[in-house]
Amino acid sequence: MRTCFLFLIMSLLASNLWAASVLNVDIYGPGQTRVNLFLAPPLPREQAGSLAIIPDNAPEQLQRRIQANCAFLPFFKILAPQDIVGGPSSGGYVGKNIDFNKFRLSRADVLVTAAWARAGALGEVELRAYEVYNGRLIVGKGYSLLSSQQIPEAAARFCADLMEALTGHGDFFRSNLAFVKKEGARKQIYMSTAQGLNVQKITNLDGICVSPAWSHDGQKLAFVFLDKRRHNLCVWDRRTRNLVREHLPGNTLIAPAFTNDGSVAITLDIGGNPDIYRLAPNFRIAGPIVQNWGIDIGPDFDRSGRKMVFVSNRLGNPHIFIKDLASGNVRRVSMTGKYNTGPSISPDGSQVVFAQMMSGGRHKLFLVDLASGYERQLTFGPGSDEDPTWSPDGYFIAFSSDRTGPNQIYLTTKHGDEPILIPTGPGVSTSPAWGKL
Amino acid sequence: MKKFGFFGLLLLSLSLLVATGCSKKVSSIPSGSTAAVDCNVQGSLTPEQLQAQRLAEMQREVIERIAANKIYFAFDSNELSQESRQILTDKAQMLKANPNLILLIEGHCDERGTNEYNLALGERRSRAAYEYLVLAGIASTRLQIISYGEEYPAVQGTGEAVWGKNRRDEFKASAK
Amino acid sequence: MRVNLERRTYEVDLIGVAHKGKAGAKRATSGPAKAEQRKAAPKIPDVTPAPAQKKPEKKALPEKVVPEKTALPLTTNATKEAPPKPEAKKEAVAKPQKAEAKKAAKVEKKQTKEDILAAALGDAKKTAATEEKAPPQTGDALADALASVERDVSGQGKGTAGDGTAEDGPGEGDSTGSLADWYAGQVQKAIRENWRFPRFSNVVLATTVELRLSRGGEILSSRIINGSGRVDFDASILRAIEDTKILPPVPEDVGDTVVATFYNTENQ
Repeated sequence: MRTCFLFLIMSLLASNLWAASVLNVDIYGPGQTRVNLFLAPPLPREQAGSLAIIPDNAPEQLQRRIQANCAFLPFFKILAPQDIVGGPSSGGYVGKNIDFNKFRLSRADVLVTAAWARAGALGEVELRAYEVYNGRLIVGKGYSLLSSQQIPEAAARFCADLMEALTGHGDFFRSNLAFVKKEGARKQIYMSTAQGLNVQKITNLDGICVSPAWSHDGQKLAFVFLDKRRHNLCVWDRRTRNLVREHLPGNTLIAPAFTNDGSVAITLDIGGNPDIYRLAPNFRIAGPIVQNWGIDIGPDFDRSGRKMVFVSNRLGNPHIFIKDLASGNVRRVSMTGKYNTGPSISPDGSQVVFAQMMSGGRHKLFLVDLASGYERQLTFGPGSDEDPTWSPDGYFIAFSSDRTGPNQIYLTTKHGDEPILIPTGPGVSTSPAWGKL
Repeated sequence: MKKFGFFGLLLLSLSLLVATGCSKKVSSIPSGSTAAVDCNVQGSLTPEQLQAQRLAEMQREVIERIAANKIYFAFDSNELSQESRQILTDKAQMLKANPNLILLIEGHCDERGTNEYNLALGERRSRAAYEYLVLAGIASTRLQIISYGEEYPAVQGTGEAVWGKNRRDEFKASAK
Repeated sequence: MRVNLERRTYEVDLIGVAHKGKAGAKRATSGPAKAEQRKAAPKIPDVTPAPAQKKPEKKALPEKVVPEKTALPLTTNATKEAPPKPEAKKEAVAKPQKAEAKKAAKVEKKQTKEDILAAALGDAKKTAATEEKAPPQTGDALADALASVERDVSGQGKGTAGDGTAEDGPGEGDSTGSLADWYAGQVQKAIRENWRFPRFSNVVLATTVELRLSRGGEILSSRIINGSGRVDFDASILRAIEDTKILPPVPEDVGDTVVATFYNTENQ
């Protein structure tokens, strides 16, 4: 008994020594994926100056535009002035004059300051973003504004630079969306920025425009136009604003897409059923990409042009497939559900998003990681979500949804962040296509 | 034409004359004058003219009859039902009897499913009717297919009663 | 903190309060196991194989938590887990026993120096194994859960992409009977809560930080042992540690040095 007791004491001691070794902890992912951003009230650049001399209330307008831009990004949480301990003023607009302590206490992570000076017709503004924890300048830019019309542009540029500094990608604010708007019995092609600004009408055709798709350099937009007798392939040049209309062999044209070399791939039925063909620059048929007894439609290419996703009903009902254009190998991508369409492959070729029909005929977006095969549902809730399209930085996904009524364009991310509306005006908007610039 | 009666025939010839521009047909009237009034006064149609207008009228009737009966499909299917085949057989006969008519076959879908896939399905549906008509002896050069997917529903709304009416082929004949 | 052997051993409070649940469940298993071991041989304190155990437990953890939005491919029971708490309780009870068996098995492989140790562990494994046999009989949901734990522990923990809450579950009795493991969970939870960083990088970032604690749990110092290469990522971690300031008091048999590795991605 006593020896047992001795053993007990000794091993307890031993264990204590043992346990004096280091405790290892792994932490996978932050508790919050939004950092706290605070926009300090704008200041005059000269200490003795005043903001009142800047016309059109420009400082406040710019403030609001930057706030609206940042609200689009799912990685910021905007703090309110009342969240700042000791009041919202920053004390200065340059690091050495800023009282970072109060912002640290208020749990702000990023602080943006604006400093204005009157110049010319409107003014000059210096925008700076600081990392609160160590006072490091993340990005600082100056803008000369000739009129208040330029305020949205300045805000977009600054946020693009801020986003580029934080994420490596600033394209979001510089990119464009093309989409389809219903006008009575007709459908026309429209364009706007990714935030829904500068909405422009591109076509005025007597019929139905469908399936816009951008070229990889963002200079051309292809779509199909259905008139009273035929399908037509249309290509719009962004620089020249010129629209070209082509008749192709066969009766049916569906969903064009650009390859990385600028040629168009499109579904034609010249073989007696819908197959995918590549067109030469003069729109003659260069050759088949996918030929099969069934329906093959909806090609989308990654940035390298080596991978093409598409829809095929070769297994009986529509599923997503991927073709390696170098090897010719075709394999299935969507593994769940009975009706999967509308695929879009991320620019780096690693992820595929598509729409799956759920019970009740509504569609929801699904995301597949090609390397692991891991498939998950990305959007939830009421309504039908369709036509997903990747942003050029491979982070955002725009799609069409009737979740709140008539179809509108929404924005989510590859993480499935809560979708937000991209306002494109009244009426029905569908089929978003994301360009590079 | 007997059923129209004499009065009806007169009306018809009047409208035909006005429509075709009788300054060309009735050579005695100078081109500048108001042809209609003079034509009326001048006289009735020649037998050729009567024949032409009779044919045109008959053709319009045939076009209407061809368009009248649409064929319908089951969900996500392009199979022709027995009834559809019968309807297509009738249309084939009419086309044979009117060799100067060409036919546009439109394929349509209900709103379920995505627009692009429905364009493909509409192609399948219009092609199914096309192939049947070719087999029935109609020259393929007289036939054209087009898919409209879900873009032009016949009936607005949701539910099977509506969807069933939208899953269809429509037939639009016209003179060559 | 002292281990009170006189105290009522079976106290499982799994939902809500983290350390009670873990400690309680821990005691539940360590009680009988200890008794067995004492009969057979000299003591095997259950803190010993702390580093070895950590890995299986880490794999078990992500499986347990149910992210709201994602469809987990590996377990059909995932959706069932979320609402029914009584089910979770049953699974949790079964799990520590199951996990203990796994852990015991692993420990057995690694520590071969003492035959007595091996024999004692073998006994513990047998008891755990017999306990393990009982749970599958209680229902399909349970069997599913156990089966999926097995898959998860033995293979790679796949498919737990949540929205940043993968590791965050309250102590639903998933402890494997070690104070160190429990404390590691506490550290993880406390710091994570204060850690903010956006999800936008396609690159995996990892930073290792050494923390020195007082016995009361205050973070006395922190230094980066291995940076990620990204200033803002490292800064966010240092800030999270600073904002946390104090952790729960350090258990007696746990040291005062914590080495924490921060990853910017969830455990997929």
